[in-house]
Amino acid sequence: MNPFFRSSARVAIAAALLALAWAMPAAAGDENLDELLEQVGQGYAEGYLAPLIHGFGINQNTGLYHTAKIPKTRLFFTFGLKAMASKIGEDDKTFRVVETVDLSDFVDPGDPGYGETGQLVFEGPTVFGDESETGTATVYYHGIPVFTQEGVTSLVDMDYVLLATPELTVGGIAGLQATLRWLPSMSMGDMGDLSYMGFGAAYGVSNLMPTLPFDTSVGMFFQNLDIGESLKTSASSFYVAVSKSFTVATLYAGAAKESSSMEVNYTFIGDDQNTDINFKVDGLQGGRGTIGATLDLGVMLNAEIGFGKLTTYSAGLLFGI
Amino acid sequence: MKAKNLFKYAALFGIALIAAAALSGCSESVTPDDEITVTDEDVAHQSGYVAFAIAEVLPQMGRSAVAELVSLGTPFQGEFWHETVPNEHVWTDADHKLSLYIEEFDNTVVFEFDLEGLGDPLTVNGEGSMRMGSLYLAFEVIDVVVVGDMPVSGTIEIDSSNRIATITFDDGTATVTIGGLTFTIDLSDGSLIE
Repeated sequence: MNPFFRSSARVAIAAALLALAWAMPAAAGDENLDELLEQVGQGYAEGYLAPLIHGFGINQNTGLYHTAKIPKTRLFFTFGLKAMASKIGEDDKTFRVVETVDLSDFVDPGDPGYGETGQLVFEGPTVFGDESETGTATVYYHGIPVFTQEGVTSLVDMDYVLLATPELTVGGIAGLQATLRWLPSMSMGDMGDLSYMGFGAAYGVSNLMPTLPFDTSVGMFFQNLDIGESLKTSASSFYVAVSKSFTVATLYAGAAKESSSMEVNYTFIGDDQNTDINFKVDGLQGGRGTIGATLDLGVMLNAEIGFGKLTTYSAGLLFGI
Repeated sequence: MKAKNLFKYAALFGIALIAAAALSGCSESVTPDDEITVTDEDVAHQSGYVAFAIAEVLPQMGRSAVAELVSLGTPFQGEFWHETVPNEHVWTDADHKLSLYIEEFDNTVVFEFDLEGLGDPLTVNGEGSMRMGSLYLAFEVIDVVVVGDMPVSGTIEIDSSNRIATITFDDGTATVTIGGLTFTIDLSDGSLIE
């Protein structure tokens, strides 16, 4: 490998690891995410993890391009670091999940409600909620709480779901480019170990229409991200982008059809027995619009905003030839 | 011309950035926030607890010749004023309120009362609340007359999750009404009268 790229790769990976380590503050409690999940069942976990599930999926589909221009006959390489952040609203700091349950599982024979149905309410801080609060699981019979159990605290109080990754793009032959994202398995503190890989390809459509006053391309991207022992996410995006270059600046915009999902697997440690929990949640964001800009000052600086279910921000530092 | 186009595109991009910044806080919620279903039957059951609590606290407000501060012991907490000149007068105020604690289903039910009673027999008006775990409801006491140790007339209106139930007292019984639901409790032992 070219010595320039070898050193750039080391710098970018190190920068990504440092960015993630700085971006993931230590949780207030002593428990990591896997240990917190072991204390709750599926209903509680679905609400508790919601902003993490959807935020990471949306982050993966962020920052997939920084220009729509893909040369037809000029080989190029770009290597650098992309960082993404999805904003968590105040409504995503707490959750409430309500299920109908058989009260026989929660009250003794002869007690009011035994054999009838009631409401089981899981509520409290989400994984990114207030660290001073603890969730609860409460069973109601005709509006009267007949059973209460303590849930868990949040993992860490954050206003953004963060992600950073090195990225390598090679292209310029026949208007095609390929992009690789990769992070080695690394400790994310109380979140557990994180590993990340993604692959994308794009085609410069404007090569077919050279008289267009702007550049346009279409592309796709597929990614997988694993967090700790319990969470596996996958994401895909199909996008169209347009850009206009001015000397050192490139302005771009795009629209994407995207999807993501997270598989959650852990063992719930109950009072009497352990239960294997396995469920899959599909991401809520099906599409987005993006606007951004790239400055080419020898190294490229890139910033963009994405609009969908969550507002996402991305910044990149790229080296290329 | 080129500089003019550059300025135009830069201005457009600047406007887009400002709009983007303004919209950037507009994230939708991705976290479940289910509604807890509350029915008339639920509020009726909750009202039964309030009827029981009122029947417990009102007989505690006894007689005294001059205004004095009276404290109640377990399961009550707090204190109230009472005097008998010229007529019976009992009342709580901002610094002296009454609470009743009852253990139910491994939860502590807490009733708080802010009441005033006048006349002989004592006619009580005021307001209060019930808290049980995450359940909270408020109630208003309207012209409840106490004879001996029992409410014999008057009403309580209960507001729980924006549903209103009414408790009507009649000579030692309490009838709870909400929507089409009605049931009557014997206040002497808390049993349901069919």
